[in-house]
Amino acid sequence: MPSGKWNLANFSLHASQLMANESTFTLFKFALADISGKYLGADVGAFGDTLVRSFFNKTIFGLSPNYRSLSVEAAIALNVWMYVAHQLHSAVTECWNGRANIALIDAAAAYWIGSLPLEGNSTQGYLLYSLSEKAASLFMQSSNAGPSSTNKKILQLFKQASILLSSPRACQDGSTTMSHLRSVIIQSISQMTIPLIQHLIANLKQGDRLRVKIYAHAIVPLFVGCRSSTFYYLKSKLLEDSYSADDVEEIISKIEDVYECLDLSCHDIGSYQGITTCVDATADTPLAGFVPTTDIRSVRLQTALSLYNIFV
Amino acid sequence: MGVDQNSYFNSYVKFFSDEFYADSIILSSFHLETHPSSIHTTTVQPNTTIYKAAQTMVLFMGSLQHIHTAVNMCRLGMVDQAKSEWDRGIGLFLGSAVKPDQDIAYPVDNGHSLYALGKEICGVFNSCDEVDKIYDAFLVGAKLLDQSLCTDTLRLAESTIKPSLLTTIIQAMIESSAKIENITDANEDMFAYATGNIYVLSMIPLINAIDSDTAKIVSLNMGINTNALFSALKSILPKLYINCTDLRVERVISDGCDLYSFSDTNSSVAYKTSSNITNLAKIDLDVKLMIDALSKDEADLAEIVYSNVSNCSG
Repeated sequence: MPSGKWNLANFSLHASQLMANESTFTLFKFALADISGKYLGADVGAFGDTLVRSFFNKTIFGLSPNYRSLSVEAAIALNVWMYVAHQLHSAVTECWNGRANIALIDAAAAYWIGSLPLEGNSTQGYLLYSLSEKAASLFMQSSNAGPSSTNKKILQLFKQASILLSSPRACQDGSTTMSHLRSVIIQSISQMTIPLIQHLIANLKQGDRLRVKIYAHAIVPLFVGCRSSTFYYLKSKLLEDSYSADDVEEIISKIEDVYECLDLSCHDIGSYQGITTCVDATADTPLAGFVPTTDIRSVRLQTALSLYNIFV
Repeated sequence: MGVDQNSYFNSYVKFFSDEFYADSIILSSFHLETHPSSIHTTTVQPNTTIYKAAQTMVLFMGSLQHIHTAVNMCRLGMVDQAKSEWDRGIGLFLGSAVKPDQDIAYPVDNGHSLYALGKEICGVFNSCDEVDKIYDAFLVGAKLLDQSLCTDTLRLAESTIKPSLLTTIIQAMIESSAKIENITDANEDMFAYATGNIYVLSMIPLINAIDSDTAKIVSLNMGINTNALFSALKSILPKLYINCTDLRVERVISDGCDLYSFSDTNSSVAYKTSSNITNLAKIDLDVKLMIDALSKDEADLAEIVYSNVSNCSG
């Protein structure tokens, strides 16, 4: 982060400058840019900011009191989420350059959790940890005794990254930190998509089109690295807001098709209000006629991200 | 059980079994100053005790007392008196901020008040922005009283001013403990031990009111094992409404705050920071301000917060 004060808008407004070479951000830019390279007439890199500002609108407030918080949700799901991913990507880049910078992982954790004290499965926080707990409760993944499996796994992965970077000679010539860190960071970003997918599905089911807009913008761009036909279908339906209520089940089914590419399973996402429709692909699902002998699912997100970046 | 505003003073009285505990400590030191014993071969220790007890016991409690009185008067509709009491609270916190006499053995640049202690210690912890925030909070409180917003003033005192004042004393205690652990110069001992003794006496009654076991661990490890002291202290910080990361201990000891910690029978989840992320994590305070504005239908204010307010800094 550049030194000085940093507000929620800056997370998005400075993204083009800070994240230009990062795969996650590049996927979003590619997915959202119009033919003139812009998003709704503004810098595509600041798409989060553009969306957030569209919700500071009293007309929208008038539709439902529940819509007052749209701008906040958008700021967290778009601006802050991308900035967490940026911290993680930066840790890999720094390591590539021979610097083991644990502070970047600490920063990712800070932006995920926030400063206000949390206990167990608290939904009282204000950032992504809390957003994730709320999503987990909709998908029957809450735990009375502690955090949801998603938050638990994300924090464990952050911790793993931190431990890797604190090892002697981390990121030095000949060390294996780089490859391990890269793998942990990819898994982290994969897990970080879970609450976004859960909120997208929940809002599709609830018919909340404005929140669908937020979460579709937060997750659908990542699908561009997976299956292009699915991406363009979802882009048309969700990002361009052309779906009808009759399309909802098919849209959800298409989203479920992408789990595998994101290195996620139906189990990771859970079932909305306990109703299960999702079926995981098995490890030996044929790929264009080729039946793999090992589970190659985890390779796919890495490949999808690597198409757009040299580091991750 | 936490320690609320009203029971702060009682915690000290109960611990020392003395309603005039600070007076007693200071007066006994005056006696040592004029009649040095064989142990106190110089006047450094009694001098230090008097000075530090005044700073972290008398001025601290005095400032809180005036804040409390100000809120009570505000509630009675006596706004002018409330503002006057609040100003006295500020006065005891800030002191006269006069540069110290060169002959005084305690080098401070901002006077001898609690504010001076904050300014003296914050350089070690890289937390001077937090000390300035106490000053700012006092100014905000004065404006709230001006508008007779008594509950908001109390909330400000509880959530910001009191924890911040305690943060300064806790930082001083940790720094002092770490310093004592590494003492090599015998001449330095007398000042360091006396200082550390007062800092720990300033905190122990409050800690003891929350958890006597923690108080024992803190007391036993003072100047011996600062990591162990901090490790015990961490558990009671939420009861004092102190955010562990606000202490910014990373530059002084090897232990740190658990940004998040949870354990169950099957697994343990804890992310322990190894760098200072306090100011980054505070982006959630901006989110909270946005939510507060939006809940009042104030879209313009929420957008201003979104675009301009920065609790987060790098």
